[in-house]
Amino acid sequence: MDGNLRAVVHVDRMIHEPSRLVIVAMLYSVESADFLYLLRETQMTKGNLSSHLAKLQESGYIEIEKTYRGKVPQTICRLTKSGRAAFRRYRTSLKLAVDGMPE
Amino acid sequence: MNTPDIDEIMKRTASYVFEDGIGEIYWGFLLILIGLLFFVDAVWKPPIRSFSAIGLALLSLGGYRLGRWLVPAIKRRLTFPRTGFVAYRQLSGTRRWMAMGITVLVASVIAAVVSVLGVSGVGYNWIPLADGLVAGAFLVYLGSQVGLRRFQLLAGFSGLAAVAIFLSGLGDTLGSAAYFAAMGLALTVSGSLVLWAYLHQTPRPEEQ
Repeated sequence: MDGNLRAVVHVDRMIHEPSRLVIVAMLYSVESADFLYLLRETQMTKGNLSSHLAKLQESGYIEIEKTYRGKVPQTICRLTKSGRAAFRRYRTSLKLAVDGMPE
Repeated sequence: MNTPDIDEIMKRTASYVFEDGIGEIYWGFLLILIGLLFFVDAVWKPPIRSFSAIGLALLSLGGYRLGRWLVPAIKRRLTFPRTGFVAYRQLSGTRRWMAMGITVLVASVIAAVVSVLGVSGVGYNWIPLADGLVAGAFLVYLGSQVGLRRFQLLAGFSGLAAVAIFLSGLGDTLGSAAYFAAMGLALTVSGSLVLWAYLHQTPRPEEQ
């Protein structure tokens, strides 16, 4: 197997799952975003989004801060340093693999 | 879920800051005030030397600082309860100083070029044209970065307004007044339309 294509086999599956990839790509562009924003933009259900956020938190890729905006609870999510690094690695390895594919 | 387009998602997230038009309305008002400043300078001719230059510096710095407080404060009441909160990344340490250094350098070069051209007999009538073309180029760049077509339209308006004002022969001060007022009005109208559409499409959670 070509070296570039081999990169696909070792791609980070925590990020590769499409729903989590969307979440991580959104959080990569910003400092932080709240649950409501992610919910609207990803169009997932609350349960589905919570489950993906929990998995990303367990892997150390995101931090979740529970706070209040006035009297309304607010859940703020942000990528950790390792989350940012993992997303950069993911994009590089995927780009390498795609560039190495025959026309 | 289909394979997501990562670049498109990142562009869409970056453009969220323009989702409600509040920033455009604020900067539009500020440009109208700057236009008014140049108008007062052209018509009243105040006895203070460099009236418009000092006023421009004060309005720009004060407006920037007020905007950093006021725009997020309005967003906290209008936008974040409807479509969620996003905080953007700030330039940190060295990068912030580099950005400030580059800004000061560019401003100094522009001031030097304006002075040299003014003294050498070319005059200053081209300033509104240069303002409009530079602002237009910036809006084209911004529009391409965040994928919002209305910025390309505003860029086109900026270029056309600048050319029309230059050809009308209003001169530098009155021409600048006309350009900033026109551009400020365009931004305010554009932002107001966006805000109107946003408020109609996204009721507050308790209204849904």
